[in-house]
Amino acid sequence: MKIDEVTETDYMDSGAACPGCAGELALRLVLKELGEKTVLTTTPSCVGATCSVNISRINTAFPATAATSVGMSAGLKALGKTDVTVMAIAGDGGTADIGLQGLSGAAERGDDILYVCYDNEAYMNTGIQRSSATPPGTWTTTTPVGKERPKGKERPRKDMLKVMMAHDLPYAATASVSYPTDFLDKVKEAKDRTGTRYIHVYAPCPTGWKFPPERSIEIGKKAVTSGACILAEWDEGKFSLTGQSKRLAEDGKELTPMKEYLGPQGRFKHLDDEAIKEIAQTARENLEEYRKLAQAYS
Amino acid sequence: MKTKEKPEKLSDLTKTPSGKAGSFKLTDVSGWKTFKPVLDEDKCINCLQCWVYCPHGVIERTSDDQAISIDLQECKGCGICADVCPTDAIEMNKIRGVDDE
Amino acid sequence: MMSKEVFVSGNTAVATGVSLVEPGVIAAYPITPQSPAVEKISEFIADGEMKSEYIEVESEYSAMSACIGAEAVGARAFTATSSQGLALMHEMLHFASGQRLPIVMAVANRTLAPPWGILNDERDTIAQRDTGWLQFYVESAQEALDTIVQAYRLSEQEDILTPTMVCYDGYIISHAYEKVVVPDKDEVQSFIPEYEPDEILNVEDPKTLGYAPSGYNTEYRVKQQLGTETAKGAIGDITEDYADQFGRDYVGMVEEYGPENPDVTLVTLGSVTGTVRDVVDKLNDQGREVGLVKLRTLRPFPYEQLADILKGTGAVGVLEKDISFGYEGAVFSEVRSALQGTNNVPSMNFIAGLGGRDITMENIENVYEKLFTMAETGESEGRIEFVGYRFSDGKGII
Repeated sequence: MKIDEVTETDYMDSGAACPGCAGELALRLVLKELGEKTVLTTTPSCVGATCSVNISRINTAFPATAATSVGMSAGLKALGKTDVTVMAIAGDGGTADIGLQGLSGAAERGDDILYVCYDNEAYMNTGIQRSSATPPGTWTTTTPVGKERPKGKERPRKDMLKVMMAHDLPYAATASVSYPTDFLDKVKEAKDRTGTRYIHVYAPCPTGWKFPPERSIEIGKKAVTSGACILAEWDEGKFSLTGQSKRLAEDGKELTPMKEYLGPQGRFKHLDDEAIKEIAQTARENLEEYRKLAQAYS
Repeated sequence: MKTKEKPEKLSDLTKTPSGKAGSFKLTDVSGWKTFKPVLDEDKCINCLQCWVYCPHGVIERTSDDQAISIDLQECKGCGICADVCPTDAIEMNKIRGVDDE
Repeated sequence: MMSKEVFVSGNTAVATGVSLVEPGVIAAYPITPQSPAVEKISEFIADGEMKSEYIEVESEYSAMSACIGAEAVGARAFTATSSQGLALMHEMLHFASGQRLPIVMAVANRTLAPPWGILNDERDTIAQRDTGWLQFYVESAQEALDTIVQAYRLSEQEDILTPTMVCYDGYIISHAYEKVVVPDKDEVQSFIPEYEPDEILNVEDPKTLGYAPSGYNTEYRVKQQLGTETAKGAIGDITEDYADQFGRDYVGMVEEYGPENPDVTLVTLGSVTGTVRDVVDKLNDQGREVGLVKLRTLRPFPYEQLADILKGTGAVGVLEKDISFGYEGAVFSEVRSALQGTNNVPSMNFIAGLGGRDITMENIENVYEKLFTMAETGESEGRIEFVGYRFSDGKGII
């Protein structure tokens, strides 16, 4: 897909999201691709609480996102309405933490929903608390930087793509709002499949990551080109890297120095060069692991 | 969620906690801005970068050879459009009356 | 097709009632002692006797969430659970009633752990009485089947739009076999009007569900309360229509049993009602005027009828399988508040059957003896008695 092929119709208005919110952008882009024959589940999150969506939606409870969508899908089937896409959107905390059980259940059963996780790497709506998707080295309000804990969050983040692949679902992918055509190609693939489809889209948060709002897209790009986030796709048992991540891992394109990605973000300002080096090393290892995975599941 | 008309009795409210889709819309967020985007139409090459990246959907694409247009009422002044513009056709200008820190 | 008589367990009766209604979506998770009910529903679907989408969810929380999703797009939904499963659903019970989704759920009453146990008491559902659901407590497998059918018509009524729990005692009803009359499916279908809600998720007229206009929370709660108030009258009407069409009359929210103006009265609910009926018959045969009041619904709470029925009696006991720690049995509190101002006779709370302990006829005869003493002396031994307390240290009466 090229930029001028992105659907012109917009199913959202301007709501109360912070200026530069990439979560809002993620939903806006997905809905362009899905179109009006969609019903949506949102959950307590920035997107659920602030976005103005001109598509039918229910804001369900935090752990209930997947199961509510599953019920909608079954209900529509029972009523003979088979041309409607049921989509769910939740943040990284709503997906990788409190919503994981319901999502796992749906994916194992193969319930017919498209689940989108917009990942801004912490609980932003409640005020920047760590989630299981928060990367190591991150300052959050519940992993503050202090004498006894100089690095912020310490443990690695949960890799949701791998979690979902373990369910052997028809389609799963990671994407970034900074690469909208790669993202929408994936939404398009996911739209036409039957069963549980999962898209994990990285969405930088100026408020929670502490950078000026105009840099959301630029920082999202650096997340990918530094190797901190990886664009990949699981398609009926085949795994491949896509876009910039493919170029970095397979075509030998040089990684952006990690400092260029972390440096402009206030949530990493406590990290010294040694810590940044460590993060860069982990990113290289992850990328290499994904490259091998792509070979194994080619 | 907002209602268009102020309800006066119980039956003016919906039966269930629900409403017409899109009722989270803020009609005027112009006051959120410190900076506003100003477009130099001559520099605009209609590449649509600003359009696709605008998180708040306030940029409209026009027909092929014309420049984009920006709805300043709904624009929050985040500056993404200026940041992603490859030809520097958008400049973020400080709005008059906003004090310098 | 005509109605037919079968010899089945309460769980099968529940499943059969659901099959007659044939909701669009069933989402359920197994738990003892409810499991045979959902197994039976799965069988009906597998055999093509029932056309519903069955979701084998991974938890009760998801069961209720899926029912909410199904009803949110306009499909009928059903689930069943018990005890821990119901407790796990708690958050979504509020969501279902708050969103005014007329889900029907059968609950096989079972004690809550710890101490672990799978046998019956009613602490599970009574603890959920503030979730905004209507609650029926049934006495038999037949009543469970019939009440499920009635519940759909009740819950879906436009001025009610409130979900209903049909509570049936675990094992005592769920696993015991009874002769049950299965009504004709077409007749059941004609008893329940088409369900055509308009405030749902659709693509033609997009809606946002889950939010109300800011500043009107109280008004939506008033609507919810009015819905449950309206249910009071509707339960009477629906029960009457059901009796006309199917020949079985459950009277409404409250049933009186025994002589008119009894000297003492015991209020109870659920399956133990059957045992109490036998005791009432026995004592009345001995010339002792004892009465029984069966509470068929705890929500809506029939306080007007209770106040009226209990007006002339000399002492009131409430026998329940529940306790609200720090106070007393929740049903007792509610019955006493209904009597406030109209009847100041002595009253006592009899807490029985916890964790499945048997409630014998002898236990109930003792309760009536105590009520007679209370009526005579105007005093009671205490406020609460734990019926069948095993030790002789006097601590079973508080």
